[in-house]
Amino acid sequence: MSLFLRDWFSRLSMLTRNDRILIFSLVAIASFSFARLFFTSHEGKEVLVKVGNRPVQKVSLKMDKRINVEGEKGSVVIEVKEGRVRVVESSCFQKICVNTGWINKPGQNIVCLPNKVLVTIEGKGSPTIDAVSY
Amino acid sequence: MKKFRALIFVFLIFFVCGCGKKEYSKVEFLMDTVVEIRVHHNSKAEAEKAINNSMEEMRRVEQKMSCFLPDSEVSRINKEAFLEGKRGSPLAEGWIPVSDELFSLLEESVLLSKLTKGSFDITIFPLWKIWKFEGENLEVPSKGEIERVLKLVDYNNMILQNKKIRFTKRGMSIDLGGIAKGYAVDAAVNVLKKKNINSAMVNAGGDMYVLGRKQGKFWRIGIRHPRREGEILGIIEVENKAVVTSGDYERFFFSGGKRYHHIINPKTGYPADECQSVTIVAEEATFADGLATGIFVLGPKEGMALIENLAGVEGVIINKEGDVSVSSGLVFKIEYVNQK
Repeated sequence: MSLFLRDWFSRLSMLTRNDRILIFSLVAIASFSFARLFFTSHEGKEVLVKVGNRPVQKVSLKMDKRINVEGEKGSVVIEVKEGRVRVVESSCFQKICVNTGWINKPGQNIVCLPNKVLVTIEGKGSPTIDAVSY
Repeated sequence: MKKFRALIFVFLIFFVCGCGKKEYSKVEFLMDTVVEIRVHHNSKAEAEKAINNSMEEMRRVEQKMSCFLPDSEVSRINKEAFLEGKRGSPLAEGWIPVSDELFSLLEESVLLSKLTKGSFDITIFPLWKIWKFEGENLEVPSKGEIERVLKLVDYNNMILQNKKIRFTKRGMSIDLGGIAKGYAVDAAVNVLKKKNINSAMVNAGGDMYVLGRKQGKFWRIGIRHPRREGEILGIIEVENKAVVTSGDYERFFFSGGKRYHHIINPKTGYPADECQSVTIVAEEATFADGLATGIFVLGPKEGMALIENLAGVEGVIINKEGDVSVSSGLVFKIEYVNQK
């Protein structure tokens, strides 16, 4: 083991100044980009609410809030809480939107077809899947 | 200056690697569902133009193929194409001229009917009308009513010839609902291809086509758990493929303790109950759409045999007990992902 370490140190001393700058900057950039990736996946997520094809509200996922929107058939109540969002009440018939429950990842959405209400989470992040076939 | 050369070099590499194609997307309510188009491109203007053009194309297809829009070409056929023809009409014996585009779609639907032994049948519209899944007062039609209407459902009574169509029974009508969504997806993808887009997804309410790869990787498509809302049963990884699922969970109601869903068996007049869901992976969304519906009705055994027989077609079938079967050429990673 010590032999290995000595060998390694001797190689290190063979590096020129530029080599060290290179290694240092590579490590710096790598850690910087990791940090950026890590933080952006948690921050800056926003909830976009659309009625028909018209955006009506955009709020941060971090702010707890209740949003009332008028859909095509009546009102729809959306709740943002603890970094998640769901449809609490809807004037629609089948309540598929309410039954969808909470969503919290970018790219996920809740749809109320009869009311033409769409709730999407926007922001950067790497979802585990690109789409769902149903 | 020399000192920094290495540094500059490293930053250059970093920037070159970092500047990949960006993703641009748009979501719209279209064709009675939610349509999402995602495009990867390095020009924002071109990506957005391509997305808007393909949305426009889907809107055009809907205007033409919907049986619920009174002015669509399909609605015109439903009004006029019965045996006697319109009295005093120049169209002898009810032959109705059909546009090239719709005619080839009608021919494809007949091909799908033949492949699935009549389990996929666009002449199902009279049945659909008495089940009233579009409305809110859902109830089971009477047995007599179903038997009466069932006589009008048979694709063999829809005659296609020389770009013309004729129904041999009065009261027949067609509904392209089982195939038009897929067709609209294909049409949108063709628009994107013409705009030189080579990485994109067109998703019409869970029925989709993925063009190329997503930033060098396969697209990861989850397949919905048929009995657990918001959960994924498994994942497939694909490129340049259509992925379409037919499930019994989209529109349903309970009556007398029994569950009735919206995929009606054209032979019995009642909802098909052999499968919980069928996912088809194929080269074209039109074909995948019709096949998923047809195999859902046909049942898991015959359905899987059919998938294995068709070149370039793969699939996942979940039968009524919830057992999953996967075709031989497909890798289906079972991953119960709770999306909530």
